[in-house]
Amino acid sequence: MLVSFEHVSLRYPCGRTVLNDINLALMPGLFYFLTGASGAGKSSLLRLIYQMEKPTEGRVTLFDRDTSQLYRHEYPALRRRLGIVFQDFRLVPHLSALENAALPLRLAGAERLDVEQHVTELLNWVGLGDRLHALPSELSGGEQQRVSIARAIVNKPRLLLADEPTGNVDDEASKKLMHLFLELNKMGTTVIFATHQKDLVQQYAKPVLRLKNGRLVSSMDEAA
Amino acid sequence: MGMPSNLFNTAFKQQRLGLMFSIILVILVYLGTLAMAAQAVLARTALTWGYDLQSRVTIEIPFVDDEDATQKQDKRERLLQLLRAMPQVDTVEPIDEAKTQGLLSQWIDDASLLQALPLPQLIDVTFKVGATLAPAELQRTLASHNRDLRVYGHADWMDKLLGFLTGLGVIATLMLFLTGFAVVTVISAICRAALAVQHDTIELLHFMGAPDHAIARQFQKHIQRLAFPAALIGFALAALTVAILVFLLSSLGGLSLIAPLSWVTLGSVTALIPLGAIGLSIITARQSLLRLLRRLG
Ligand SMILES: Nc1ncnc2c1ncn2[C@@H]1O[C@H](COP(=O)(O)OP(=O)(O)OP(=O)(O)O)[C@@H](O)[C@H]1O
Ligand SMILES: [Mg+2]
Repeated sequence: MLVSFEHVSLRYPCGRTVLNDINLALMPGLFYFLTGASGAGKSSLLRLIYQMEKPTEGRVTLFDRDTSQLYRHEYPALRRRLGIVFQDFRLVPHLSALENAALPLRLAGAERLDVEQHVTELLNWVGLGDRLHALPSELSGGEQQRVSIARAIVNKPRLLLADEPTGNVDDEASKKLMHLFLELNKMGTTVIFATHQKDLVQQYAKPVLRLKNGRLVSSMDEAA
Repeated sequence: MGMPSNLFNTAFKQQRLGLMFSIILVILVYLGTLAMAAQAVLARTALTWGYDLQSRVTIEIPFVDDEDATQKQDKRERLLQLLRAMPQVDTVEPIDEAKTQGLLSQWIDDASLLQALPLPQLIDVTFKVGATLAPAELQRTLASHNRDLRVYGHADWMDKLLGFLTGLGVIATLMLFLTGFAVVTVISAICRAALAVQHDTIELLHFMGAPDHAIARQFQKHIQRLAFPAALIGFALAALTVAILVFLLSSLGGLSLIAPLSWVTLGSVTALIPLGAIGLSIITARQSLLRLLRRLG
């Protein structure tokens, strides 16, 4: 089991309960949509997976590890198997598009030149070939989003957590990025794709996790 | 584990933390090096003087009106023999009458007057190591030979001076500790500020699986790059100051007061300060960052 939630609830400090008794089990190699209205808790659920938040109740298992039992020094190795597209991009403001996208490879200790070549190709692919050395502040929202996508997939993660990855791009680019995610999925990466774009979900026959009022009301075969 | 070397640039530039750190380190290394130099010179001087004044006395044979030169010389020779026979005595050296007169000639121009002055005869005596006789004791011993002899030790006023020197040494040591403490405090503060400025970047690095030690190392490299030139400048300024002091002292003729300490020794002892400051900076940066990161969760 790649990710499993057992009776997981999440309540932010001095806030209401955002996720309520969530149970799920994600199989490796699949492509999941995570949907729900704005504020339904999609980002919160992803945060529980990448360990930004801890469940108030219940148990989250990641790569067969009970995350409540993890020691601090075990997080890095676990997180390096994840790719995360943050809803708010989270690019390092003083690093160029190239440097931002290259961070995971640099962290993994890859040679600088190899990294540059590889990342340049990837950025070319997402249509940023001529913006390699631009700072995030010089990029449009959609361009920043594509840098953040490149960064998330650059080291072929086992699990990709994409939070509204196509929220800021036009239909054309959106299709192209979808294609990218599906290709990645074919090569073995499990994808969780959070979005509130219903039409996008309907276009692809993939299992859907739907959040409503803090609960999971998914029918895995909804889109099928 | 690699990271772009400019990862923490924002923190160091935005708040001018880098500049602040460099300036403070220059000042601290400057003060520390001066304190160390003072400490080294003082310790050496106190040691030399302390040994000298314990192991050295001057014996005065008072001038007697109707004595002629041969009588004078006889008297001196007998005393010299007596002294040389004593087991505690190391060297016995009569001070030339000409030399005594030479000293006085600076104030007295008239040569004939100088000749006629009732000058006492002086003998410098040094004792063997660990066999020192107190001046009063030696005077008692010699009284049977000549009751008029006076033995002078240099200890009384030198003791006070030595106490003063030791006090200065303690202050210099204290200054060294304070400097080190200041380095640690400043760097901890800078780490906290830098971390606050780049909280988001660090959180991101965590999410991407960067271990604490890699983040700390990156930060430490930054401090290192700043610390080297700063320490060098502080040390150079201190060396310049010492050179100026030495020049001033020597033009006043006071240099002989300071026990001879070779430039090489002084240089290598004081070089410990910039090296120590760099080392301390790096270690402090690393440790405080690791501590802060752990607290970040
Ligand atoms: N750090 C936080 N502290 C308190 N409340 C929070 C925090 N983050 C999110 N919330 C609340 O939790 C709820 C779920 O937020 P979340 O970001 O998970 O929703 P979402 O489904 O991702 O929405 P969107 O589609 O707009 O991104 C919202 O009501 C939000 O106000
Ligand atoms: Mg969201």
